Amino acid sequence: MRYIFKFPDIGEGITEGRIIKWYVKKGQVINSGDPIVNMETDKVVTDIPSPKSGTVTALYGSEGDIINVDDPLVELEIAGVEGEEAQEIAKEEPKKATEETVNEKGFGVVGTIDVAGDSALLPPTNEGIVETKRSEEVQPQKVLATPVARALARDLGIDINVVKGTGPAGRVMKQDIHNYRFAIQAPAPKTSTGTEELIEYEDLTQIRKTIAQNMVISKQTAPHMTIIDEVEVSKLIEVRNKYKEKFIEQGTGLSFLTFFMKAVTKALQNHSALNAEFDAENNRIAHKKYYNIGIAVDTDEGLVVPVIKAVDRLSFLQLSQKIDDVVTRARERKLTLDDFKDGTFTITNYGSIGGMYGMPVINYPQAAILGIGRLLRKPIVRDENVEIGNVLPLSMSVDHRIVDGGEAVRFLNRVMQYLADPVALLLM
Amino acid sequence: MEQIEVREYDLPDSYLFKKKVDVTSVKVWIPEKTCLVLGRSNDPDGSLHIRNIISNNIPVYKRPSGGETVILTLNTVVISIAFQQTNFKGGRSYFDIINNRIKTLLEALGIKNIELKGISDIALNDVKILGSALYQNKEVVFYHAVLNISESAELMERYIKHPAREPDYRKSRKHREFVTSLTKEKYEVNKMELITVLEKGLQEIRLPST
Repeated sequence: MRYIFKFPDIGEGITEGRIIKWYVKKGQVINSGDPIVNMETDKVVTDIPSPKSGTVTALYGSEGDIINVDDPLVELEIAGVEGEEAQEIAKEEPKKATEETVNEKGFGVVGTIDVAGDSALLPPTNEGIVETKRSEEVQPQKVLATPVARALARDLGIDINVVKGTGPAGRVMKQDIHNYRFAIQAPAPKTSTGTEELIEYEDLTQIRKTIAQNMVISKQTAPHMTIIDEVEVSKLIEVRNKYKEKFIEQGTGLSFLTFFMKAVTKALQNHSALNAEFDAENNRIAHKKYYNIGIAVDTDEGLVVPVIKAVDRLSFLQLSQKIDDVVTRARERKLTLDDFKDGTFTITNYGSIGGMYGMPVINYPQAAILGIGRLLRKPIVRDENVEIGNVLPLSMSVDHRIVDGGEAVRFLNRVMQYLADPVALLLM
Repeated sequence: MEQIEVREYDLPDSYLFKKKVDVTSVKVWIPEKTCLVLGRSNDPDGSLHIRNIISNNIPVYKRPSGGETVILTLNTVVISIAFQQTNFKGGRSYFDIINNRIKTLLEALGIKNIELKGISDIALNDVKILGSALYQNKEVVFYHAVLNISESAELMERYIKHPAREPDYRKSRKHREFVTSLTKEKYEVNKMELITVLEKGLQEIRLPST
């Protein structure tokens, strides 16, 4: 006799649940109390035990499917109930499909469980008493697949319906997706170059993975536009040389980075598009009224970008102390999660290592990044005379969805104005 | 496409549901770092603001139990309980018994106007203070809940989207309108005292055997 076990209300008053995992398959012999499926409702994930012993003849639904309470869950062939007895049972008025206590006490995750509702008891075969569609007919037109395989197919843009499954009952497995992908890509036969032994493979560290992930996201999401310029900073050098000893007396240095951060912050207060974030989900731009500047730090493990918060509210001395602190902790790997949070703009001072110009990658989702190159002594024209100047190369990338070219140039001009005449940082 | 690594749930209470328990086991704990925990069938795209999570390098886990995504931070307390599986009634009844006990214990600490809301929430003045979820298999019933001590709802909004499913009493309210904390409700709570009270009080729960 065939017996259909329906999805019971598992005690929450819920109306539906999601099939997380089947524990049984067609043809499998199970005992009363054996878990048959792992289901999720609003708040509960639970194994559902079989109320009867028998052979599984059909599973209704695939992993990931949502089914309603009282929908068929599994069909069993139960030995020992045959012929007229089964027909008589099947002719009975359909049982109300709620809240009947399970008789089998061998195992129970739940106490109120549905036993065989409408047409749940069927005659063995073709006896025409109550006809219920077989599982193959009632299952949705969805290929059998593991959740991992579905997710992988979705990520790779592969139509899972065209993939031949090699798992149980033709279920599409993760490896099937990989095999299909390699098949359609038809890679060229690998030729031996004799260089394999000359390649040393290095496992990705977590920091390298994060860098890679962030760089890809940035370049793929934000259309970059880069402008470059130069600023003559002899006055800045003078000011720094004049005051750096006083800073040292107070326990910290006075680096050019302090001036760069102050100049950028001051300029951001007049050019909010550079201190913004593109909020695609809500079709808007978020202009931030706080100025948290990230500084790209080169460490032995790779690039990290700690953030110094509220730079606009810090004095030059306080900012210098903060810079010393985060750079030291970055190199000692002592930065915490909070040190990386909520940056609004980033400065990368690669000039401290070398290099003049670059095309910096935006620290997404910020709107811009300023790259500062190596300070150069080179000829400049001043008052119609050629002199030796102290020239700082600047390269700035912006998210072109937020920042137009004109605005980017105006912002950079303002930064350059502050760097060329640092007194303006205090007066303007 | 922005992708995020979803880690297997291995937070400090995971041992509770990975083995058979003979006696009720209770662990009340403070997370060591900020992380997000997806419900069993939540997917990152549907539940999370992935860009914000990636940019702040927040780890994401998937728990075995149901419900929607939660954030764990140093400003939250997690209550985890494992019972031996019995023939006792299903989910709603576990929630009612355990959350009622938590309500009583919080009231003993001076917290007022506590109500059980939805399927498995505890609220103060109609605003959520605790959410809970359940996982059960043949051997164990595992309950866990997050109690918000002082975390801001704005942080939740930064990382967690509006859930696909919500209890009736939420009424489409945003996180910042729907979630509160003990601190926000003007309760000064000593975390260690709270943990001690909860652990001791919950250890004494006895479920009906049938």
